[in-house]
Amino acid sequence: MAETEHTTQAVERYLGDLAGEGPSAPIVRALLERAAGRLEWLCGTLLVRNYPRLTRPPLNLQAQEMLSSVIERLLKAMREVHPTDARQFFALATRHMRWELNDLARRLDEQTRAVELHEGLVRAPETSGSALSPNARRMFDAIDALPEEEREVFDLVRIQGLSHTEVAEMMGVSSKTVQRRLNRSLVLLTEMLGDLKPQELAAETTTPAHESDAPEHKRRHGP
Amino acid sequence: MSDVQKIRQLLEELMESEKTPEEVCRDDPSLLPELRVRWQALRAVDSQVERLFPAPRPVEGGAGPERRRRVIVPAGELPEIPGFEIQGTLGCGGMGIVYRARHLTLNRVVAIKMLIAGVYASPIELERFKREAESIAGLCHPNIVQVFDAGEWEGRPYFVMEFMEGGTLAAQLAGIPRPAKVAARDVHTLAGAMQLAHSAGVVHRDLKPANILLTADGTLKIADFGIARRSESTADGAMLTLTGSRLGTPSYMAPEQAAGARGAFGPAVDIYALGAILYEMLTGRPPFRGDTPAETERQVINDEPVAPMRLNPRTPRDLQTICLKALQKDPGRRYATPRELAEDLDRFLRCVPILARPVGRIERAYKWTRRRPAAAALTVTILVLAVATIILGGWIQRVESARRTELLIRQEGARNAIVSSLTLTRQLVRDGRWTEAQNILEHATERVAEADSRELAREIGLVSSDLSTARELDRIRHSYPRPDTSGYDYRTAAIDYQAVFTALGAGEAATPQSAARALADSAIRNEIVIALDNAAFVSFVAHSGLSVEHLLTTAKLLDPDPWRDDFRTAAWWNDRSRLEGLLTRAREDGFTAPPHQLVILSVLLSGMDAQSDAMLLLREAQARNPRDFWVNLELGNALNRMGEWSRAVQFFRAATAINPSNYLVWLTMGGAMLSDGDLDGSINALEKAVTIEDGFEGSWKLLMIAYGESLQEEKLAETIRRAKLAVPGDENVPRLGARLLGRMAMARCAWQSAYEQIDASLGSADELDGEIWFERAALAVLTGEVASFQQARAHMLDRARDGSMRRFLAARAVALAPAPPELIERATSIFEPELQGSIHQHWTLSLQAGLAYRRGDFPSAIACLEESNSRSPLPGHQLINWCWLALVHARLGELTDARSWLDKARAWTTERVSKRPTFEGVIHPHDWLEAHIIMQEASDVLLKTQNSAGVPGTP
Repeated sequence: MAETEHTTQAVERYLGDLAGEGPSAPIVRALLERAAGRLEWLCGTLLVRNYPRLTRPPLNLQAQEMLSSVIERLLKAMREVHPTDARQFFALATRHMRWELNDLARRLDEQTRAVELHEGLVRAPETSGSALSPNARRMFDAIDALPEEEREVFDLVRIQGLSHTEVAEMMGVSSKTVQRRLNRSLVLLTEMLGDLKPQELAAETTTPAHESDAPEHKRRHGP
Repeated sequence: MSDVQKIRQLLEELMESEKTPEEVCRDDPSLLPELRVRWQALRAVDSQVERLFPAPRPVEGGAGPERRRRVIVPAGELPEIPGFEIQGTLGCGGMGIVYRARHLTLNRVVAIKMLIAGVYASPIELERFKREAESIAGLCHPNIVQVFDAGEWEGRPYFVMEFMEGGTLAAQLAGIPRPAKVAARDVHTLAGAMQLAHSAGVVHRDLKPANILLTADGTLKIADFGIARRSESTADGAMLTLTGSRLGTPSYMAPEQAAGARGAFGPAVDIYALGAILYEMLTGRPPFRGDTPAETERQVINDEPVAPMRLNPRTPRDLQTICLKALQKDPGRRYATPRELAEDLDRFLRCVPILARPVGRIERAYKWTRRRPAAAALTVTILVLAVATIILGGWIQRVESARRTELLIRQEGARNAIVSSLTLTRQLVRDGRWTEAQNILEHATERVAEADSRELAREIGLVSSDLSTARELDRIRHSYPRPDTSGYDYRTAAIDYQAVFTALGAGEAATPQSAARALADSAIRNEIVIALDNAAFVSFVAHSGLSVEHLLTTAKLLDPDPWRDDFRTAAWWNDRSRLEGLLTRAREDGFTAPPHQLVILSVLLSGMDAQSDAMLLLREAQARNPRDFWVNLELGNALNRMGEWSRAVQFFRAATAINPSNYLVWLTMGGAMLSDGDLDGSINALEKAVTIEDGFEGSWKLLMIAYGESLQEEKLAETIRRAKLAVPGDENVPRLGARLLGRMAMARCAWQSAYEQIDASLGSADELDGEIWFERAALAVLTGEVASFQQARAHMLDRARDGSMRRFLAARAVALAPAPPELIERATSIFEPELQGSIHQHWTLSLQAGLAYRRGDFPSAIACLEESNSRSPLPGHQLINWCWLALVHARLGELTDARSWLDKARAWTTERVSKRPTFEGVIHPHDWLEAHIIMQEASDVLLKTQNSAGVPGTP
């Protein structure tokens, strides 16, 4: 599956298919493969960029295993769901993808600790950039806590890798709105992740997140 | 509007416009300092986001990514270097930040590496840095990252260099050995570049895979010349402020560098580094890697690298010789120049003899002893042996001494490997990754003889027993609740738990105090505490195993906490108000109690009929622990019990995503899906359940039903065969299978095969028995087995009379065929009590009509049939009425009416068979059978009446 394939078209075909009588299996499979491909790529990025040490033997083999089981789980989970429209499909897929990424990050973090103990590179990041991202999991938690609207746009753009135009089309809003929500998600993430006045900010950021999407809240934590 | 909100708005404005923080703050300058901090933080977060979720397409092109880049290209905040447009941050390392920028006049993309202020604190230092940068800028080689310019911005020095999009060699190597020729060619290339640098008087001093960058087409280029030396020669304090430690890994550092002869080392360190890179390319790891940087340094100084061929047997001997020569401890014994190294590599590549000579074992042993004066005794031994060899002139002893040296090196390697493996295994045990833990542990065990350490052997033993304990506890947790004929079996689990705790010294014989002492130091203490609670629960339910009190008290001692202590009060587990009190307090604490305790509490409450409390608890537990297998499973079970199948399925699905190896969750999910009408989903889930655990007949039965309902006859037959093999002793499985196959044959009107299958399914003790008897009776009529029908009819009447079979079914069986009047009377009177409760139901009316017809009371029959038709408009319900109407009218000689009813019934049944031969939701199989019997009878009567009346025409 080509990353560059225009997703909107796939989505449209998918929607058309759902509306019509034809079997939607091939389209669903294409979308699934797209999601799996994207997840695989994100996992790979996470591994290589944030946990370079784990890409060495003997751990590299386990890392490979981890990746393939992550993809397998996503496919399995998604195969059994029957989303009624493309938006719901992406919502479900993204939720699973974030879960998987978060879980992978957790396992990688724990492995890293183990490796660090005997590799002696604890305080010597070898590739440039490691210092920027001490903990991917905090990021995942913060994304989870974003208000529904911001989170959906963030997920579609960042995790699913859709273009702004595609997202706007799917959500039925303007590209400008997409950009605005994306910007806002960044502001909120910064507040949640920043160590600036944590008390005040924690109160400020978590309240609206839960108020604005109260009905969604449960679902988000559900499977 | 609060300041926080105001700042949010300003930040968004910054992102949306080209303005600077100063500009957007014009109205409220007091916010500027705060805004600046936030803006910086936001950009850091954005680059983090970019790292985690990179855009799939290249940044150039496409409106979306363009906008996205804007966020990290804020005007006014990135360094403003004249002549460049800074486009964003590429990365950040210990030395400083790398920006992506465009050179305005040349219109080319470059990377700008800005060093962190403080490294070059004084103006003199800065000046020196600049002069050096200029000399590096003079290096023009296709394999050296071109430095275009150097300068200083707000006191921070920077380089302008070529932009490399291919990442670092370190990332590319990723621990995987490369083919020897590729490795030789790459190092040959790097050596060529280093030759140029050395000729220009520039020594790199920090050559390592992380400093070698790749272009998009994979060309290697060396980066960061001279920088390392600058930072090294600065006082350590300056560097420590950066990362809290010294820079980099000593793995590629030459021994003379590691030994701390700062500044005193020359070009030979780069030769060594090239050797180390070659070594890593050949073996997948650098020559030395210790537990700590200090340990690595010690190895670099003292140890001989393990021969590459021993790590990667495919390494050519000559290339190993070249590599080890470059890695010589003594700078004088290395290649004198990069060119010499390059030339030898070139000889290797051209397959001509190389100049380097392999280092002999004797020489290695000698060197080793010389470098390790501390190992005095050993050295003496070896020297003595060496002397002895000279005196004796015998080669054997020489070889022997070298062998012993090798042995010691190997021993140390083995010890390191074991220590690493143990750390990793402990972690894996805690993660529940048993197989991986087992593999690594086995690997460690294999090397224990080599390591020759009693201490390590003992530790392996400890970890190994922790592993098997944790594994067993996990197995037990997954073994219950196991459904059995009488409900659920907890007893086995209770006894298994008892066995584990007894083995750990915490069994019946121990007091809770001594039990707690025995368990306190375990490396898997958390797992044990959870297991104690779970064991208490199964003991509580099963009334077997260790005493609940004993287990809970032990857990209390190991894991004290006010709420948990109360939870672990055995007497409360029988007291609904106490349990509700615990729930209230759990809610006040925000349901932060461990999920396994919340699950136990909910099950206890549910057992006391406090369903809504149990549900609340599970929901809260699930919201807080969405990744907990048991919480999801239990919530699914609760919803399933309430008939909320599709919601239950969601949580089952979550549970399977967390732990796909538990058959029970697949089974219950399959059942819920089946109830919900999702046949495909159900089949998938149940297939999974029987794959994981094929010994539970319940899974097989559900799977058979799912295949039956989805009309997959071949699959059904195959599943029956599989089930018979998997649960050979169980008779109900083949009976159910036969019944399902029989039903499918009925739908196809294959009466003979249906009769055989239904006959084979008789004898099961379940509630379907009466229905099966009816089907057998009806099929006997359809296949002309008169005797069999009469036997079935008699049996059913007998059993209906003593109340062990449904009266309706027996009476209905009698109505299927003409019978002596007394039998009809018997059936009518037997049916009477059931009739009262459902006198106006369409099916009751149909049966009344049938019995009336058999009595010869045709007007009553017609009245009942017409009323029945008016009760239900569904053709599936009316079909038998049409048939009976045809029969009654035929008997009355009203041939037109009879024929029209018969045609109607025939048309409908023919269509059913041609469409999809299933009963599901359309018609009851009993109605189907009865309709065919009565249709046949009506057709016979019609024919007879026609013939006797001499009327031509066919029915």
